[in-house]
Amino acid sequence: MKTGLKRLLVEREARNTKRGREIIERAERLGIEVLSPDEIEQNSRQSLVLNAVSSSHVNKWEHHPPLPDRAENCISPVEGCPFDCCYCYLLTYLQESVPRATVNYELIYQEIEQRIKTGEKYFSLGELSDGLELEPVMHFLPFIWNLFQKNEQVRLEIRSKSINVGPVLRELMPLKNVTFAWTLSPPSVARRIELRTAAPKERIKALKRLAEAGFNCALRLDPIILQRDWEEEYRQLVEHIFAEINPKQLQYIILGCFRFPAGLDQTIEKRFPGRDFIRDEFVRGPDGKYRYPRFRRTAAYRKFLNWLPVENLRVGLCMEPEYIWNDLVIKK
Amino acid sequence: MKITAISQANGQLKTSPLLDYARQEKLSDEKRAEQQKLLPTWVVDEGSELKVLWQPRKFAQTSENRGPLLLVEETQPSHIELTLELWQQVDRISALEKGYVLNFLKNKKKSTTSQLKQLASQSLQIPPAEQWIETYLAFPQLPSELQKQLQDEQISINLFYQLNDLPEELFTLLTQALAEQRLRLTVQEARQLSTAVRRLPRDELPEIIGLARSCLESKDDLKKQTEKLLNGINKRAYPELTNYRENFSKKLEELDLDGRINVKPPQNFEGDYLDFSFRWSKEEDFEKLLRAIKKCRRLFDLV
Ligand code: SF4
Repeated sequence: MKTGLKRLLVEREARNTKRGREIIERAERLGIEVLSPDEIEQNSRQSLVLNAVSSSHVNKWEHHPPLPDRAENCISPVEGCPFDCCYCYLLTYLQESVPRATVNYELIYQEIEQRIKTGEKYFSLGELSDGLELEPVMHFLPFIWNLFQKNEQVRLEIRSKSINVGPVLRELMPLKNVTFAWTLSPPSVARRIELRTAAPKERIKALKRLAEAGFNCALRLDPIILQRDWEEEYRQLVEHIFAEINPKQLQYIILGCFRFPAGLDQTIEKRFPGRDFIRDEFVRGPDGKYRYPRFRRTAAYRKFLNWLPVENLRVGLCMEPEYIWNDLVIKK
Repeated sequence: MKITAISQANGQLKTSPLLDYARQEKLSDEKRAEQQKLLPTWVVDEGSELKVLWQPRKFAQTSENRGPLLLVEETQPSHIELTLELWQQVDRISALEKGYVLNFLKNKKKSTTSQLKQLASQSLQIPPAEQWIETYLAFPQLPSELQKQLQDEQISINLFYQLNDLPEELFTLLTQALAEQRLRLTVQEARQLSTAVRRLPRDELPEIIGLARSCLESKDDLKKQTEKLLNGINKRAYPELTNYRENFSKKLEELDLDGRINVKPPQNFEGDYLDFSFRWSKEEDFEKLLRAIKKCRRLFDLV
């Protein structure tokens, strides 16, 4: 099993913990070089700094009106991603590009528990990093699994572009309230824009393995990038998905056109020159984010609603204002 | 310590405890007045001569007060930081001077972007973002009229922050026009312009430059000319939005509201409401107004 990680840079405090040593052991078994942070210039996303930092790793993200109000608690044992998607908002959101992980799982556990006690219902993993890619090294999911087993009213969505489902299949049992959601794009988009991620076909296979083992699975076509030929490419993607997967194996599918906060476009231009997906007609929305114009988005969503087997599938929109849901007559 | 004060009076090199001098924050008024007379000039030792790198603005005005020269053998940023700290005690460093400093560090001292960012935020009060650094780095290349305006604080730094994002050729064209007063732009207009250009595919650049040239060469007054330039670029960058807008205006015109009601769609058509504003002064106008409002129903198809 691969993780895309080349180096594990372990800080002294982390090395001195039992969990730190376990992580090192797993990393070494996977052929990942283990060093201390001062032995190398920390400039690669394919390195992971392991620390024992005890700051908060669960953040509540609220949506601005008029986006449907569903605050989400993002669990982030790792901040920073080994993948390198050109559209990733982490490019401006995080100061450091090198992913950093904490060994302090107990603290994260307590934070989640505390939030559940105060009535929080929605949790996600995979906002500040990929939700599965580092699991072969981190083994984080088994640690929090029983929390979600005990609290069936609480939902967890694990988001990923990875194919690392081995640890899940080996160590976890399906839970009704936990869903694994894969983000998919047409192969040409994945190749050019979602650097170092698994090919979409492989992601579909990974999803299928989990679905067949009884885990809840979902799909996110998000971000949808409306470049030249998008229609043909996305239509083929949808066809391929449902040639492989029975819609009944999916809990839901989420659609979301590409959007970005102010300034991310300039960062993308500098970091990935020549990626023209960022040069398009983007206009500012009521939440301050930039999106394709409204009627272009709704026209695109309508196409998807035509292609998808909607009679057997729940479809939702990601980060779209209520009036777009209404335009499309989709129930929230 | 490699910072050295050179007494201009006798031309001899003598070391002085400049670190204390620089760090001394609470100066007595008397001492401050005394120091204000001494306007140090940052110089670089270039072997046979001491080259003035830059000097406080006040210096030129009061050359009789010429004080010590600061010789900085900058091999490490710490010396630079120290010099700048001293400098700012004596005189504020202008935006243009900051641009010169950053250029010096980048080109002569081969400082990396992250070193520049750090120095910029710590010693020059420049936000540590790449676009800000690039904005300042471009100052010394601006036409001299604009440099002067910057030095005299007659033009906003934010204007250049916005323009700096433009492709070089367009940037040069517009800044030259600004310098020659053939163009007037507010910061907001500059932001609109650079955002719109960012939306356009790179291969459309020659046409945009052509458009800008023709606007700048037109005989219109400056306000009209700016309007034309912005409209032309916006139309290319936001074709669908322009379409919606034109369509909306057309429908509105067709309703023939007799100028009684002003109707506005949501910004960028992102929303499902319309903003109405109207005024009536006579009771009998009210019925006419209601009729006009009813006519507007048809506009809701457009949002
Ligand atoms: S997988 Fe997600 S978090 Fe990772 S780089 Fe891509 S968009 Fe960012």
